[in-house]
Amino acid sequence: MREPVRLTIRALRGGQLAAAAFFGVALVAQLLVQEQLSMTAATIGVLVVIATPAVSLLATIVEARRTDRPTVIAAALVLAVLGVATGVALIIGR
Amino acid sequence: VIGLELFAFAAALGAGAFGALVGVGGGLIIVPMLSVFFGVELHTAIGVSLLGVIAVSTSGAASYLNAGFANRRLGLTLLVATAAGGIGGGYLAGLLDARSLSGLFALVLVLVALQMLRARGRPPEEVVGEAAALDIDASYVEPTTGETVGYRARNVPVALGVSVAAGALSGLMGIGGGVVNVPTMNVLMGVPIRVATATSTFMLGATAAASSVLYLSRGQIDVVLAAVVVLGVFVGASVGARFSRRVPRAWLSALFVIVAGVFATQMLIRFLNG
Repeated sequence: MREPVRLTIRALRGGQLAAAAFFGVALVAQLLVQEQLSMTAATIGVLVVIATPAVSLLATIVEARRTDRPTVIAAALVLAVLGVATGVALIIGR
Repeated sequence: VIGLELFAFAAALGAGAFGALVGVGGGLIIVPMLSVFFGVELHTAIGVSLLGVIAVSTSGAASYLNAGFANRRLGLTLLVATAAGGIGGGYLAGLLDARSLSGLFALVLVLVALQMLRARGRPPEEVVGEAAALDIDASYVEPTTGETVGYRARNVPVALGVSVAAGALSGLMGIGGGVVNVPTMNVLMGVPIRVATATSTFMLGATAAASSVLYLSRGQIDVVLAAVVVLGVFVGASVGARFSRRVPRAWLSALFVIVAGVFATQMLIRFLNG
């Protein structure tokens, strides 16, 4: 029997579409010499790209919670490591 | 600037297609392309490349999960170790200069090319007998034959150790770590090559995300250049994942060896010239 993956796929494709939309706006704004808008849209796009794997992990936890406990535990651990990475980054950023 | 961005888009498109096909993320192409041909500072090239790697993973993983090629449980198990290694590598890169990174990158490229050259044409390993405690049994439908192929992912503890190194490599050099993930799963764990490349593609995103936040916090990501590269990679990776079942693996391996050799030479020249 195949594992449920529909929600994870939706999270991945949703992130991809959202990032592509922001990056598209950024490039059009740059062509129109709207530097501020271009930078803002591109920055949001970058944040969406970085967040997409974490969102897909959350989706995996939700859809596998009743059928696949090892997968849920591994996904939660990966999320925790990503949380540590973000914490370290914020400390370095200061 | 627009000309540079058009070239970067085209190159990222190729890197995305190639990366999704062989499960390596495309960083091995994006970093040298940006730094050697477009003159982008190496740390910035690595930061942008990490975003490209996430894009390859996002596009490719959706297709591979849908097709049943990617083994999510196996990928997530190895990801725990890989993501932890990614933090260490991303931190270490901030302490190294561009020349050291160039030399290290050239060395890794040569090693990967040699490994792929040796693995060309090797038949998949048959696994028989009782499963050990941490082994993962699974199956997939081989698209070229329609046959259901059963396999067992074994040697999980050793693979976890190797995955820490793969993650560190990713953070250090802006590559997805797939150059280590794929041989680890295929050779060390006995996973079929199609599943290994698909699962590696699935893993790349979280590994690169762990490192990319560090580059972002250091201001080493050019967001407009990232927009061009990620859009190119999105398109390329979607096409690459869709057509992966039609492309002979031996051709891809040969192409990878050539590309890795060319870029290794370029990075080595940069290292020697200081």
